[in-house]
Amino acid sequence: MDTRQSVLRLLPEGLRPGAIPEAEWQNIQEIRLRCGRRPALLGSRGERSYGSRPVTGEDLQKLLQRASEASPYAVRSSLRQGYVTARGGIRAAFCGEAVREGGHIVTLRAISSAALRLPHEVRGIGARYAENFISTLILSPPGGGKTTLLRDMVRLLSDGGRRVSVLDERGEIAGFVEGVASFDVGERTDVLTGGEKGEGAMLLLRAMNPQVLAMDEITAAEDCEVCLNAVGCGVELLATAHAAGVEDLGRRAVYEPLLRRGVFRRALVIEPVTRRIREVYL
Amino acid sequence: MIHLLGGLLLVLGGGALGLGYERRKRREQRCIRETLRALGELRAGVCRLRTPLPLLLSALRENPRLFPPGTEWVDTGDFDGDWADMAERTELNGECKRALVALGRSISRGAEEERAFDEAELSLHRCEQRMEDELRRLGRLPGALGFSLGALLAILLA
Repeated sequence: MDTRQSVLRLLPEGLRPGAIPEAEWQNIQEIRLRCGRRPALLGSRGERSYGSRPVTGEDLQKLLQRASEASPYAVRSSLRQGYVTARGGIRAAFCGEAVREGGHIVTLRAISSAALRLPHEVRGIGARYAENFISTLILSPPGGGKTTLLRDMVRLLSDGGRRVSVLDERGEIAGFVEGVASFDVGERTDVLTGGEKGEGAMLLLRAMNPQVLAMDEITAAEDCEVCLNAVGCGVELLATAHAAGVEDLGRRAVYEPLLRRGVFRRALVIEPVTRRIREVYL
Repeated sequence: MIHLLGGLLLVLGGGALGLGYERRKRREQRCIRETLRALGELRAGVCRLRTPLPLLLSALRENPRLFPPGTEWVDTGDFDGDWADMAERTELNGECKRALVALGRSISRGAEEERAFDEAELSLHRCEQRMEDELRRLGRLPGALGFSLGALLAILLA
């Protein structure tokens, strides 16, 4: 089942967008659903509403039901972080009323809005950067195509002969469902889906002996710590971070240790709108 | 001779109807008990092991009368419809079927699964108890009544 079919299967019948040309479909980053409002498509030029009727609470419950395969109790650990990864590697994010126990969010109820993140597999966009690979950080603002580029580079590195281990925290990179990957991540790739980066990285480094360790979205000090430890093990890194460019990255204290210690030797900056990739040596 | 045979058939027919009623009630009762056993396994899978429903229902396939094979809803997305069809196909009475449908709705929407199971099991236990009481109260009456009515009809028509 391709991405379009996977997405349409998740949406309640009355909320499915009409016929969309393939070229336009490739530009859609998310489908946004808000209770009481018409559904909307999010692309590089912003949101565009579609359809004739507003989203209802029952629609959003149905979406959660379908995304979790009628098993929200089984995906509680990701739902408490606001998302469920459905078949096809589609991340369905939810917002609603937080249910708390012991001061922590344990689940959501009364879902009021949702966002379906559409993964795109674009083969070959990373070809130039997989050759003579060095530790690389992929940068762009949210929705800029970082995961798409990361996925392709993982595949190319793996098929090119390297052992690659992937920390797929949200299941979006490889999109594993019951042991079957939704995307091609290469011949020599091992994927750890779910769990936290710190624990996951140590597991992969000890057990799978990777030559390249790949992960998505370094956002916190703990994630940076993972990178520092991995480099200490002699592993090349491939990761992504939210930033408009290297200067923007440098302004954030959390990334200072990575830049100071030269953990990443190259940055690939994806420009918004044009999606052109700029290579910057660090 | 024909009259005798006809009379005999009427008596037996009446008896069969009466006994059939009792058999039906016992079958319903057995169905409730089997459903409760299956719900116990389902509850362990949902509330303790947190196993996704497609896997759980596949494991429960051993008893196709209760949880018929097939997880088509995984592809069609119509869990509510498939679950309601499954409940309809059981030999449970209306109240028990409604309890099953409500349970499916609750667990598939992440709405307090333990409480949903408690309510479903309570409904089924209530139905089972009512059925047990009814059967005890009626005793052999349905069969005897059936035979008697058959005999009466035979006499009247003779």
